[in-house]
Amino acid sequence: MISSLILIIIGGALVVIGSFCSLVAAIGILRLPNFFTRIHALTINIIGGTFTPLIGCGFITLGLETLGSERLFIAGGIFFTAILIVILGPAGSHALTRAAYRSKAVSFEPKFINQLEKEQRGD
Amino acid sequence: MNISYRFIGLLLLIAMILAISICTTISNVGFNIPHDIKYLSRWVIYSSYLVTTPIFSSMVPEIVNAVIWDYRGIDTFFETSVFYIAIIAAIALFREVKIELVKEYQYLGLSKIVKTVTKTLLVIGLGAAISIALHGHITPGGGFQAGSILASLLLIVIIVFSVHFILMKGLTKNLAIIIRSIGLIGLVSAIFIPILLSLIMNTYGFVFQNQPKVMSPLGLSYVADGHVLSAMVLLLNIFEFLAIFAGFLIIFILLSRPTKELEN
Repeated sequence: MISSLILIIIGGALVVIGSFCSLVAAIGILRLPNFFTRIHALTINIIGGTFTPLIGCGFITLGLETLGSERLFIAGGIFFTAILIVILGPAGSHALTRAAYRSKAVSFEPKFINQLEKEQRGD
Repeated sequence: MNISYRFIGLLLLIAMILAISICTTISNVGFNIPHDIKYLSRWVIYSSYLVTTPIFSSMVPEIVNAVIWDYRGIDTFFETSVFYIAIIAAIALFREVKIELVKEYQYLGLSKIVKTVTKTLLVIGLGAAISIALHGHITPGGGFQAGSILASLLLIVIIVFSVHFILMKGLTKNLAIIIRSIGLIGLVSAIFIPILLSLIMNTYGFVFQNQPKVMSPLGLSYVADGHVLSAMVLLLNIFEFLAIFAGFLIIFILLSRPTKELEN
């Protein structure tokens, strides 16, 4: 009984953290100046705003004993989805950023330093 | 002026969010479900899976698959045939195109990170697609959905690894056509075998006959060794899975040709 309560509290805290990360990412996508910084905000949304609340939902589902033994199936599905997202999301944003950098379709301004360009020139 | 517009918009947004949350939390606001619909849904469930009288039931626990393959099977069959005619038209349109293979396919495609992640995804997605196809009569899903999942997975592989990867690994257009033909032949034979049997056994038989009906004793057993198999729906799901995935794969291989190659 107490363990289920602890699970629900941990899950709720994770969901709150996730919603905060979503809010930060939304503000970042609206306010940040160029494509590469906005990709950074998008990654905050993928990991902080999707992965964390999914794990929290899994903990909440495990804690709700009124759902019966079916809650294990639901929690398993939730954890599996979370693992898939944490594998696929960074790979997707990596592919997007790489394509944008190589095709030079986006503007780099404002920029402070471009380390990759320096290394390619051989400095 | 600008700030006041923004303020009004923010107020409207908050009001909408509050209204939706109130409507979803308090059950009396919003619409009540009438009792007739519950009666209707009970009849749908009875005619889908009722162990006591299998003659009046299609013996498929998943209602959507019961509707698709048993209640209105002929409709699904013609939908499927429309899809295959479209694929045949695409093959006929691209019949002059010869695909030149690139031996060094490992230098094509996206970066190594994306390739590694796609390999992981391919294993997981293959398992998910096959399980959705084989569990279509118990859980939501079915042949078309599983075939679409596998085909979209192969589309990702084509984008990430390039089409030469798939072709050099042996999954060519001709093999896809063969798989599609196997699926179609299985589908048609599973549909029409009850009629042929009824001609031989001198009884009545119907197209898409899943379970024994009142006048005709034909039909496979819906349960085997304690597992619900739903007889013909499982077979139809498997054949539909093969045919749909191979059909989509043909389209994707043909559409991934670059424009320069087509102009030559």
